[in-house]
Amino acid sequence: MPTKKYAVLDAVALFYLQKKNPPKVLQNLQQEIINRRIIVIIPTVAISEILWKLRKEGEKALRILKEDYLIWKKSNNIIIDSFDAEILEKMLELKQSYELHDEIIAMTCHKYKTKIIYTKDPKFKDFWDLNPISW
Amino acid sequence: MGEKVEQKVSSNGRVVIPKKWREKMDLKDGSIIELEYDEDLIKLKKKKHPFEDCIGSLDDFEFTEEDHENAKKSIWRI
Repeated sequence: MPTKKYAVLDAVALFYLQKKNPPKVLQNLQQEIINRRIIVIIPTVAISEILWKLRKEGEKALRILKEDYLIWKKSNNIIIDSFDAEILEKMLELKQSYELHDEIIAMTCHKYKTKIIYTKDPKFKDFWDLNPISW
Repeated sequence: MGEKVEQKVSSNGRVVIPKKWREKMDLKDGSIIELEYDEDLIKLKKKKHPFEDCIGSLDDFEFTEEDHENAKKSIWRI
C-alpha cells in the first residue's frame, strides 16, 4: 500500500477547488481527493480569509461556506488544521521574520512533513524551499 | 438488461471488476466501493466522497489575489 501524500492549501487554492471548472491543476486535485489518493490540509487561517470575503457577499455565500466547511470536516482525507503550539514552536526556530500569515502556512507544511502546497504565491518556494503547485 | 461476465472467485473472495466497467464507473486505485448483499445478489456501488457535494458550490463568487491580500491585512492588520 503506497504512503498517502499530504498537501497544504492556501485560501485561493481552497476557494477555486470548490469551483465546477477550476484550472486543470485543481481539477486533478479534486479527483485525487475524491479517489482518496491524497490528504489535504486546510489551515483554519485560509478558511477565515475566505469567510472574510464571502461575508461581504451576503447570507447565501455564508450559508454555502458553512455547508462546505461541514463537508470538509466529515471527509476523512481532508484535515482542518488549527494554528497551534506545534506550529508556534516551529516558528520559534525561524531566525528571520516573514509575513505572519505565510509563516503559519509554511510551518503547517513542516508540521505535516510535506513540501507540497497549492498556491499561486512564489514566496513559498523562495523562502521555505517548498514545492508550490500553481496554475 | 446490463452487461454480464463470469468470474472465478479466489480463495480469499477476490474477484476482478472488468477494466471497461472500472473506467465507466471511474474506479481507480484507492476508490472506495459499497457492497450490498440481498439474498443471492451482491450490488456494488462506488462510494460517493462527501467533497463531491462541494464542487460548484462557489461558482457564483470570486476570490482574487487582491481579495486574498485584503483578507490577510484584515486578520493581521499589516
